[in-house]
Amino acid sequence: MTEAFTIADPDLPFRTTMAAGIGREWDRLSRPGTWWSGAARVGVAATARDANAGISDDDHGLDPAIAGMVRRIATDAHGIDRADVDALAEVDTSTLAYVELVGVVARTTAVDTAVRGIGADPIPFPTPIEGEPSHREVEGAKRRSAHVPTVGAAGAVTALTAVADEAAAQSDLHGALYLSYDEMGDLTIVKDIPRWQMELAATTTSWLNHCVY
Amino acid sequence: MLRASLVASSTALDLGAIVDPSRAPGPPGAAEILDFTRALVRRTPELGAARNRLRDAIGDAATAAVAGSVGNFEMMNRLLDATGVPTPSSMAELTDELRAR
Repeated sequence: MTEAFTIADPDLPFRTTMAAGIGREWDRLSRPGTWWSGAARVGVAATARDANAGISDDDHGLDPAIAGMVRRIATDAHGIDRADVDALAEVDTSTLAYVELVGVVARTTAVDTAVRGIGADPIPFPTPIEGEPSHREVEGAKRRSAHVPTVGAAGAVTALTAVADEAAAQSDLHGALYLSYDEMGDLTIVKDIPRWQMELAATTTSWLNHCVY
Repeated sequence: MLRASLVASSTALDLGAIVDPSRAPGPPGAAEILDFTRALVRRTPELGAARNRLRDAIGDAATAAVAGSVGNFEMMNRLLDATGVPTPSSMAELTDELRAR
């Protein structure tokens, strides 16, 4: 862990595993990713947080076109189509780099939502760590039915698999906030709440976000 | 997964309550989960009051778990929509039912 993170003034505490998962996410956020530097990743997260709060006057060091796409992922994801993703090539941004943008925006939104849910202030972003992105490519990733390449059929678990570290981060936070992929098959699991209560919150959230998946 | 988990736990819930706040969902705590989730996702000023009602209904640890579930699906919704992952046919029935309401 690069630096301690704090959840300030919560009305109620997270379970230990949830707090630890958020801590790991903040650590990952600070570090160089696969296609973006640590500073860019923190800039993406800050732009996403602003966008979710209705603020769009600061690009946080990002190219304006990238900041604009970050805002769309945060607030209008269902309006993004394949042509929008391909258009990022005009600002030298590959589809794989877009996958990482999606991952960072989505996880930042998850953490911010959960933290707001317990009545706490947003967690301050970590200090970016210097270093170069790995540019690690994944064998076997192909564009199939989704806007982005996936390893195997496009689905909830494979959506980010063209960027291995992003898929791993999604899996980690999914397990911390909700259920691990292994736990998903247990329809009667109790993790502070029974499964049906988790799913009621999940289905309602998806309904409100117009997400039909 | 909602329908399957309700069946697995022998819980009767009116799915229409998800899209129609005037309907009573049924099981204890369900109405409070719906109100809290709506306030959290929509960022309404009612969030604090909704949180307090949920805490009274299901407890502190459970309320934090609901917050985590909502957060997770704020992630998954953006991720699936932004990557253009198509809806699997296995989900079509519930999706169609909710759309129809």
